[in-house]
Amino acid sequence: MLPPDDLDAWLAGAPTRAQRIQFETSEEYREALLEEHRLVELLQALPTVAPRAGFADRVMARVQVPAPAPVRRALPAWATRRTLGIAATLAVSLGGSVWWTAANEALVRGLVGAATSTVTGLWVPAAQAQVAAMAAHPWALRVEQLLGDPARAAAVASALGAAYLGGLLALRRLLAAPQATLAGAGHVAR
Amino acid sequence: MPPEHPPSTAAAASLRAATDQEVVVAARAGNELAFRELVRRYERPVFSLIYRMVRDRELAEDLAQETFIKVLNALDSYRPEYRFSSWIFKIANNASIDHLRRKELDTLSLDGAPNAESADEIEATALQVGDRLPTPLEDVVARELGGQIGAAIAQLRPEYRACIILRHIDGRAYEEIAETLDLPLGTVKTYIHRARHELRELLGHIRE
Repeated sequence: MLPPDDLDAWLAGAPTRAQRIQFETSEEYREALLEEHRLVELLQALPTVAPRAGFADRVMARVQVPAPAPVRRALPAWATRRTLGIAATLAVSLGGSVWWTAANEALVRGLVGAATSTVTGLWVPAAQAQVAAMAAHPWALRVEQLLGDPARAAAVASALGAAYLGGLLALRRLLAAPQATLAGAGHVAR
Repeated sequence: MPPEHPPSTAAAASLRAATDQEVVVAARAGNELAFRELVRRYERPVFSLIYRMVRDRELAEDLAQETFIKVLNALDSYRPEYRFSSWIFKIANNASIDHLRRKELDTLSLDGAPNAESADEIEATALQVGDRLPTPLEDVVARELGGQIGAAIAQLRPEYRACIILRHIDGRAYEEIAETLDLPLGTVKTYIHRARHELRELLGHIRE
């Protein structure tokens, strides 16, 4: 029996050297190849078949052609004027804002600095209070002892890292697109 | 000044030059000519596939019609990253397989449908040959040979049958057949190889 890809190679006019040698040296191979080639020729020579005349009309009689997409109408003149007015107002406001900021740079810097120091002044004591509250828990000492040894700290870090990577992989799998299939190609309902 | 073509003729000519994907876009936009263009392109190959699967002309027409109606009414669900031909052949093949599963067909003659009894029925259901008219002798030889090959194909398993028709009669690429039949490429090659082997056995007497 001819190997599966051999006929394709010969039909494509690109047999390998080994296939050529086999053709020249093996009568069995040569006969099998010629038989398959003859069969393919017979299949290709089958007469074409066509449905009866009027097939397209019979199909079209049962197809729902969607209404042609409506052509987009041009905007009325008043709408264009209003759009231009809004755009001009926004442009003037933006330009004025930039000009005022550039003209009052010292004042803007002062305001920004005051706002930043207020936020920092609130955030630092809050963070310190959180740390103190955690350190007061009974398990805090055990955690500190566990992480005090570099080997154990490394083991814990590795375990956490592996768990994080595992989570990432699981998330990626969950969010992967479903395997592509041909839409709407299910069996014809009868 | 040369006469201008009517708009519909020009539009039809433009659609003929378009790719399947472009024709589908036009059809989705409500262009009836685009629907007709899709039917024009695929009526023969789809009918041919179904006919060679079920071996009954009347039935093949019904199934081909159902295939087109299903496809054309569901163009919105077509995904352009796939070949349109794969999509429509897949639906045509599924329609044939569904039918074959319901009813096991006998090996039939090319001269008419299995249930054709009168001369009129036989004539009405006889195979319609393509564009070129053969000579009477060619016609007889082709009918006899075609009938025997068709009968041999009908004896193959439906999966082998679809593969061998798409590959060696319609000339489709392995990749497209795999996409159409939802089979791995290697399986398609194996099926075609086995189908050829079985056909050689079945047609042993006419190969000489």
